[in-house]
Amino acid sequence: MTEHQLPEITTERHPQPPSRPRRTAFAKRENAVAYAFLAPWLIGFFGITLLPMLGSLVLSFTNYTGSFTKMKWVGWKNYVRMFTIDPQYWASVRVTVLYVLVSVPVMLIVALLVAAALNRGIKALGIYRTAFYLPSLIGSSVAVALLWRYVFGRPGLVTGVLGYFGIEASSWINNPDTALYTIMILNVWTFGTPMVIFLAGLRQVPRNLYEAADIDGAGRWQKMRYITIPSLSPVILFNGVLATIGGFQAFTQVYVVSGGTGGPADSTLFYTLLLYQRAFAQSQFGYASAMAWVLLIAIALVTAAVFASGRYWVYYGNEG
Amino acid sequence: MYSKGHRKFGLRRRRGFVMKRVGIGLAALALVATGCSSTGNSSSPTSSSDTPTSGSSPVDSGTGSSSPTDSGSPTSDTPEPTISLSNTGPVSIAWWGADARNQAMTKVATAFGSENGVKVQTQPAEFAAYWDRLTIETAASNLPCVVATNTRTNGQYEDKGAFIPLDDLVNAGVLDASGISETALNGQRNADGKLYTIPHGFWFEAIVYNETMMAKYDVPVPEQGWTWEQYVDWARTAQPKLPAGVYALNDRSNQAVQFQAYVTEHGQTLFAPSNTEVGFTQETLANWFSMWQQARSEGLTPTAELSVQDQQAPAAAALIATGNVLVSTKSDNYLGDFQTGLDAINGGTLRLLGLPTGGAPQAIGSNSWSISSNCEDVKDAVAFINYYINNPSATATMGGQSGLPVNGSIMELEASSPDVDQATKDRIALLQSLEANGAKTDVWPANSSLLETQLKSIAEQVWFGKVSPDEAAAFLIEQVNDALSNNG
Repeated sequence: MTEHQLPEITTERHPQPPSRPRRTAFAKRENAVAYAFLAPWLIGFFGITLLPMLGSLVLSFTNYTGSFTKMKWVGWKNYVRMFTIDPQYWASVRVTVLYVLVSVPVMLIVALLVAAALNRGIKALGIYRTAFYLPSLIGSSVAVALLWRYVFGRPGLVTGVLGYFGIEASSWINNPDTALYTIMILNVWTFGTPMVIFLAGLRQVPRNLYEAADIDGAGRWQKMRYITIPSLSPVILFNGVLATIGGFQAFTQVYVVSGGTGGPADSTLFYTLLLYQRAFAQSQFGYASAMAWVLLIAIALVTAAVFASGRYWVYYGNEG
Repeated sequence: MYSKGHRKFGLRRRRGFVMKRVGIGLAALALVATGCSSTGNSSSPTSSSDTPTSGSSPVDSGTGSSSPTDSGSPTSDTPEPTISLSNTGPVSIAWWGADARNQAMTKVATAFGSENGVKVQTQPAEFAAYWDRLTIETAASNLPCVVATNTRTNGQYEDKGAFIPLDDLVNAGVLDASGISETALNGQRNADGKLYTIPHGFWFEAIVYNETMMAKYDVPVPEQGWTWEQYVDWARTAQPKLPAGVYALNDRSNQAVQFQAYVTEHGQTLFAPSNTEVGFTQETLANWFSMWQQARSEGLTPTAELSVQDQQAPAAAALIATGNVLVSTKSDNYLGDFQTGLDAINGGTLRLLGLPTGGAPQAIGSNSWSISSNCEDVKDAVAFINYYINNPSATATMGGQSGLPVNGSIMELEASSPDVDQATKDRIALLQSLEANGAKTDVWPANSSLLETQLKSIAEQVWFGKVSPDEAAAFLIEQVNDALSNNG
């Protein structure tokens, strides 16, 4: 563009071109209005999210136990202690990683299978969809976690049913070898959210691909393997990332099921639960802040890794 | 507009950008959610209720109206105090406890409010959730006016400046502690020499045994003054006489207060005099775990699984309250809850004995009231404490559920009153006999709460054979010493 063309274009857009100062005033006013509308979010973001986050970063280098007068700068001590001394820390990492590795894939597979089953033009789909989605709404509630104690506890639903068939079962929740699996089952049970998203994704898969596959004589499994899953891969990535992040942050269910202890024998001591205990039961806020930052970085890294892996298996249709 | 190549490049870039943004956004969310879920749940198992009283606005309720006892309280002799106390807003009162205790406490608080025309806010919570909440409220300087703590927890709040010193108020007679013995009151003092807490109920750990079942199965009653080893040996002789599903002992190896008695028996203390490290050896703790491990393997105690379940059951559904355990050790003020459970199944009568210490004086604890530093109604807070500790009807309503009366004359009154049940009278008699044996109030230092929580956690690992007694002892001592080192 040459210089003399610029006013021409401007003139076209604004039949009566405002003088430069007036434009600035208008822009300023416009900006002010925009900021006014943004204010609730800005206040929330800076006041409730960013500042406390930075605050916790500072605390993570101190021995803060709830009293600023006694607070001392301890450098990397909290981090060193976490990685080298605190055996409960690694126990909680083991529990959390195992939980994510097992419950996330299982939940996604269950969600995908149920979505595929519901996507076959059955009658009263709305009712089924609602019924399967419902646990997602209530599954993370305290009430359901309490209910879980009665499903897997003793006396409880599971032991009762097994007992009816003459199988002597012990309480799953009070046994350190099985307690974590009861929490995993509770999490898998809340597969409704990814299922609904899968269902929406399945609707987007072009019919003609299946028709072409039918003509080529592909079976049900081949259609699933070569059409459905590649077409759904962006949705799988999305659901996978959300479920992974959710898995690392799981708290409510295990807090209620274990009575806040992470027991029996630390078998359900999730990372977030240990963080909570260190902070709010033992007043080690500095140490807990350090734990929170390590969790944040770990989740960011895992999320980035999952996204990066998408390059090799996520199919966006218009590429390749 | 763009060539195909440009478009592809643009998409890549945009995806990269979006990816980054999503990553950062999720990362931020991660921490917020971590923090949010933590604080959010701290209050979930708790309950709170406002108890508006007949008085619509707070009015003066000086100590004169707080019904001191007839024990010759010096309040009347004391000149009008010159201390000026804040008096705005409702007085909030927080405590922990199960349903029955909460009901009694609410009743006392409501009666105080209506008798004095004071607006009262009650904030009860379940035991574990209560301390989580206090920790947060302390850090935020947002404590209720009147705060219940006990001798195991006082220190950590006092050291953070959460409570106001009460010495001046007590000396001036505004806070009427004249009914409480000097020994008991001084036993509450912080290491800095100041008094931040006023005891409101005495308790002690005790052997709780089912007298009816013992007679039924022809099992002799344990004796006071036994060592823990004798206590477990007694179970060895008792167990063969018991039917399947009934255990001689409750496994209490995860309880710091029981371990304290074991430590006392072995001539050690829970905390070193400096309060910067534990006062017992690793060997003592390992032996404690081993003793219980042996008892468990012999079937004298419930299985590890059952014990876990017992930990989480409400007191009225605990194994001692369902007749599945013959003897337990627990704080005396749980006797009522246990008996309620037993009564429902006609399971017999419970009795108390002092803890096994081999005859050494055992520790006594107290639940106490404090006034928070952020309280804006100190006047009514003081009036409430006066009412609670000195008013016989308040004490009668509580029925010893938050500890036995601290006011000596009220305790005497209850010991002989026909209106007081035999169980409470037995508790009073036992407390007096323990005191006669040299038992004293025992205040735990700041940063010691880890001992209780970590002992529970590590003992469970021993129960399930995840760690050996030696490993457990070394682990626990390392953790607790690290926390206590902050007291230096």
